[in-house]
Formats: sequence, C-alpha cells, structure tokens
Amino acid sequence: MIDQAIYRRFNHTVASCFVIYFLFPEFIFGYSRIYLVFLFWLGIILIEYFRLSGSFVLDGMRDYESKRIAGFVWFASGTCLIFTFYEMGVFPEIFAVSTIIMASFVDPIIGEFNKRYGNVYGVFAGLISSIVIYQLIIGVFFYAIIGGLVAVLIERPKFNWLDDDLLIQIFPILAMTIFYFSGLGPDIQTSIEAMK
Amino acid sequence: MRFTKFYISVLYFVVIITSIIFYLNNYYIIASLLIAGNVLPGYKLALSVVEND
Repeated sequence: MIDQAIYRRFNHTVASCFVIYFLFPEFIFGYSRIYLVFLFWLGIILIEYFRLSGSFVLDGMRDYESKRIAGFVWFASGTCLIFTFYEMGVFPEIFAVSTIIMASFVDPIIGEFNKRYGNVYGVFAGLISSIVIYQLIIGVFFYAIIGGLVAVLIERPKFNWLDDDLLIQIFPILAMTIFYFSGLGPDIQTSIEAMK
Repeated sequence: MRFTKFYISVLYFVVIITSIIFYLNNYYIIASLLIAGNVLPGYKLALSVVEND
C-alpha cells in the first residue's frame, strides 16, 4: 500500500496545474471556455456521487470522508468558483492565478508542519509560504500580506459543513479583490501578461 | 492498485507538461513554482510506490 498521506499531498499540489486554464483560448470549438469549467465540475460531482454511494473506493481518502463530501470536491469547487468569477470580471487574473497556486501548496505545507512540529510552526510555515508565493506572482507586498494572512486565518477553524480547501481559496482572493477595487490597496497590473 | 499507479503517472505527466507550457510562454516564475511545489511530494510519492513494489 502506498503512503496515503503523501498520495493526498501530491494530489493537492498537482491541483496548482489548474492555472493552465488561463492559457486556454477564450473560445474552444466555438464555445466559451467557461463551459469546460462546468463540465469539469460536473465530472467531479459525478465521481463524488458514485464514491459516496459505494460504487467504487478511491485511494487517499481520510476515514471521516467516507460519509461526507471529500476534500478534492471542495478544492475543485473553489477553483471553479474562482474561474467563474474571473470570467465575470469580478476577480483579477493575477489574484486568481496566485490564489490557486497558493492554496494548492500552502494547505499541504500547513498540514505537514502541524503533523511534524505542532500547530504554531504550521501557522508560521503557512504564513511565510503563502506570502512568498503571492509576492513572487503579484509582486506587491501589500497584497501578499493580505492574502497570506487571510489564507492562514481561514485555514485554522474547522467547520462540519464547509472545508478549508474551499475557504483557503475564496477568502484570500475576496479580501485582495475588495482592497483592490475599493482603492485601499495599491494599483497593480491585473493580467499575468505583466509577468512575462 | 494498477489504476492508482496509472493515475499517479498521469499526475506526473500533467505537472511536467503544464510547467513546460508556462515556461514556453515565458511565464518563468509560474513554471518554476509549479515544479518547486510538486517536486518534493512527487519524489516522496515515487519512493513510496517503489518501496511498495
């Protein structure tokens, strides 16, 4: 049996590759690329439906996920929400890309540090890594601090009806977007083209 | 188990292809982040698969 914890972590970090969506052409075979997001989300929901109904067993699931919605569904839902709001013009592209990458990496980092060194180190590791990722992509320390702080703060509380895989994406990007559009945050290049 | 191994190899493939595409489009920071973030869990998982064999 392969190491289930490592398998889960790798699945989580590979989710960073979802950002390839931003390089897709706007229309695919004449249809807007947002339909691809709906199809993908529908596929995830179908897999989860059959998993919960016992049709098959997926590797890497936690024990408590046998009777409730699994983390991968929450993560995919969060990413699909970001894609949808980005297409609607709500979330700037640079925030969307950085948040998806941040959430994919920081959640496993916090989990691993919590397990090995305790919760305090987990919080610090999460904070530092999220700020570094945001700073590398956005390049503005103000947003890196805001995004990193919100990501770590929202990861801590545990809810029965919501998962941190969703919250760690939605809340940081929401906070940064509010600061940006309200004018409280500094002006930035919102397209990832600026990173070239 | 056979399906899991196939699925893991697809994941490796996705990471490599995505990183290459970002690199070729001159998004060096994103490409580097994708590689840096996946290399350690990917390596650990590969070790686990080999040990399992």
